[in-house]
Amino acid sequence: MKLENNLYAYVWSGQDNNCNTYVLANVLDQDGHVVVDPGHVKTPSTSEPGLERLYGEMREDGLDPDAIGLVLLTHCHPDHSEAARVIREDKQALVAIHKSEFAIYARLGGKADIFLEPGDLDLGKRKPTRLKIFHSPGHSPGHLTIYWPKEKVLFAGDLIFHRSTGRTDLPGGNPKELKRSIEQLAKLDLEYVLCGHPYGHPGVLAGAEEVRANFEFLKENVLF
Amino acid sequence: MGEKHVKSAIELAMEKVSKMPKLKSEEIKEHREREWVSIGEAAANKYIQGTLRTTHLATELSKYPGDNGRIVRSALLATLTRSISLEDTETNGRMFEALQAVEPREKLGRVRDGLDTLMVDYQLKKQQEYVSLVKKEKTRLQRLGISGSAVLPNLVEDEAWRQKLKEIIQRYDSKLNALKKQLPH
Repeated sequence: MKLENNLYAYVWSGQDNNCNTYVLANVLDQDGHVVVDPGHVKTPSTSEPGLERLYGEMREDGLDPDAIGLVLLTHCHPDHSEAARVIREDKQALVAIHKSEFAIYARLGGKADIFLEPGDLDLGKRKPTRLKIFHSPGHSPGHLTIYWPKEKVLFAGDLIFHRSTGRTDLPGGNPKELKRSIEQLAKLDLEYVLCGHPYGHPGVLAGAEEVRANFEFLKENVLF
Repeated sequence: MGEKHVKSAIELAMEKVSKMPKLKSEEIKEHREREWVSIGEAAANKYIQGTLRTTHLATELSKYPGDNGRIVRSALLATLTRSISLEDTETNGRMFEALQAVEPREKLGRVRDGLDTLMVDYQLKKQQEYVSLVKKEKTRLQRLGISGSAVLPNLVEDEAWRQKLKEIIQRYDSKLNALKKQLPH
């Protein structure tokens, strides 16, 4: 599904657990794509095809999966990161993750070429697409969120959902850090918050008002 | 009616043993030495793991007098020395404490200073090579159109870095071993 000029959202609609995947299309040189959180190769309980489905949906939008040049992982949990390994091998794409997610990611068989730290990530040489990388721990220690200032888009991973937040009871989770991370992001100028999962809602929060209302709801009802 | 004697397990075992070739006296001596060595290593490992204190090392060694005690002491010292590396100052400090506690008459200060200097040198060398490779890799990524302050190349699996690290380790290992030879053993 196309959201904006180069931005595509692939909302997971299967029965089993998997994440939403987002694509920044043609932002790398030679029209390469950047994928945020490619999800499972096959879902764990019911073996639904995750990656093949993503590829199919990309093709329907006229995006060639062979042109994936970079995978950005918000965190190492396999429902977000498993397919990154396959994309890296099959498409010779690079994979980027926060350093403190890497140990677990590697134990799950993942390989990463780049560690992302808070700062600027520039994609493409001729007219770079500038993203801002935030370290947003709470759901996991090295959880990243990715902000695209020009389009006012936040890739929120498992930090923020519609009227909910990511869980903090998994190893490395921390509710205080989660709260702090969300409070930091609430200050951004946003038109889209792209959530990691379609929990009760597709997970694409569109429009400044919807985004603002969601942060307000979290502040009043979820974050203590 | 005469009853057949059913041999016990121990009788059967002893029968088997009696048929085995006898150990030569050197073999018996070697076997016993290995036992004393393992006692020394075990005491050192307890210390390394933190379950035996420095102040108890001498008491532990005093349980084994004479020649056997020398074997135990030697194995303990060797195990402590093996744990000294160029990576961890804290562990090195503990090992030196232990060596000094076991051999209070030895002057270990100069060796310790030598080790500290070598460690700084080694860490600096590693850092310099790392920074140089990171710079090269960042240039490569830039050519691919990926850049910015958020980007830090992961060299953990980089073959060039692994090779460079191996060379540095080999070079400094020989210097470290020369220092270790000056420690009590």
